[in-house]
Amino acid sequence: MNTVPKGAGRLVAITFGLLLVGACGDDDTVTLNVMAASSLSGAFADMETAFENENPGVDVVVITASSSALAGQIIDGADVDVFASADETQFDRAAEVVRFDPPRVLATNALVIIVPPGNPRAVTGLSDLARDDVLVATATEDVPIRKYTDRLLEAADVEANFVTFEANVSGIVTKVTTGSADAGIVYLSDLVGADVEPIEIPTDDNLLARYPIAANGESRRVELARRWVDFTSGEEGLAILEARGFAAP
Amino acid sequence: MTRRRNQTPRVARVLAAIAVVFFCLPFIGLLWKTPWSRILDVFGDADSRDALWLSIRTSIAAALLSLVFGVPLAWVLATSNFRGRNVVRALCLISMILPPVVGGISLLFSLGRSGLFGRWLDEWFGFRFTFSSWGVIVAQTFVAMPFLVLTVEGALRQSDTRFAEAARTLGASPWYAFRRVTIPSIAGGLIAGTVLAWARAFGEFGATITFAGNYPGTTRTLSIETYVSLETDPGRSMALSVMMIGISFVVLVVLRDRWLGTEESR
Repeated sequence: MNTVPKGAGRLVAITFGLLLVGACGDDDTVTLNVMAASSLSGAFADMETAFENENPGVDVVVITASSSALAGQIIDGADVDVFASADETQFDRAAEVVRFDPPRVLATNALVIIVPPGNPRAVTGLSDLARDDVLVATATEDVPIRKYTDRLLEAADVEANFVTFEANVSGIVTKVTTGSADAGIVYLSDLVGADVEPIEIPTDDNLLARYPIAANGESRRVELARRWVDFTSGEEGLAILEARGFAAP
Repeated sequence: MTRRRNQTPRVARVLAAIAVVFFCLPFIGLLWKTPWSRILDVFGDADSRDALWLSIRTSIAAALLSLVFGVPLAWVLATSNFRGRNVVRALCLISMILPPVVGGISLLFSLGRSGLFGRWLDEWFGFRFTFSSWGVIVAQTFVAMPFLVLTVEGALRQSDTRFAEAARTLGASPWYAFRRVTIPSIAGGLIAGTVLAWARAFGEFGATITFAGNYPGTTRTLSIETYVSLETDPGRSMALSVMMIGISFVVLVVLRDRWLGTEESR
């Protein structure tokens, strides 16, 4: 039994010691888990900074993904304090499992066609998305942007030349900025900071995405969660949202 | 040194047991939650079959490409002694330890439709890797070939070179000696390397979705299908995971018994 190298026991002890240290967090701060549609990531990152400055000892963690992915995580028991979805369907899915406060509409977002800089395929409107030589990126079914896109295209009677179904809006933007795809339909707020050219969709044909937001009524941090919801729809929150391309509800 | 070899100390056995549990727990959790009553429906539906068929075709193509280019590469790395060989080897093997998404991004900006080289393919020949099954094959080959190269190079280094040398002195060309003497002597490593590369290609996800996109029948492989359905239909995703675990498990067991087990039984 003396075949174990001398340092082995010590090595094991050190390993477990490190694991324990790593598992212990800082007890003084309160963490607020905010789940938000990917289109909100920029705006919520700005708000996070502002909110944390006003509320010392609070650490806001903004988790962004497609609203459908987030709803799935909430249904699976993710620790969520606030949920901001890009459409009502996904919010309602999550609200069937978790008792959220009654939602309020945080903001609205119009849709816009994006093309790579220089618009290489000369896209001018929705009808161009049906052309064979225009490769169009969109998201998988159930992602809100896809639902809005389908509704928009159906109303305009256009069958788009989809070549890829991305996991969320950011995926669509990436495929267009890298020139892999020639066009995509995204939210107006996605234009901020993206290296793409917008092709406006006339107001009559356009539709507005609504973003419901609510605090988790079952959360231990529900008071703080409500404060975050109030903050996002307050004066400061709205200013940030508008700077990021959203419109007041 | 004539120590009995199979007497492992208790500490090692306990730690090994923890490792085994660690590897088994996720599968137990998955199998426990899998909706078994739906599994045949899921395996049979058109989307799964499309995705499985695409994965089979592309991964076999990737394994063959790895074989055609990887074996000569391994041969050169194992036998020649040129300056910078270690740098070349590192470059050729780096995709093995790279996060696949980084491989995908690199491919996107080189062979992608507006990438440095890819744009000319599109402009001159109207050919695109992006959003095509060829893109899937390229992404898979990029991450999978190193597994073959590493395995075959190891086998070549361990193989007895005297037989090939003898063949050479008897007048065989280097190529002939390689084909008729060296290759048979490393058959085990060759098969193991090919199967490893195939398995890696079959499971490839990150580089594929980044570089080739996600379209049913063209670029949506079984791994991507599994990922996509996790959001909308977790049960379906679990059933597909079970399918992939089953395939990988069978391949590994067969591989071990047939070609890797030889060392043990000797």
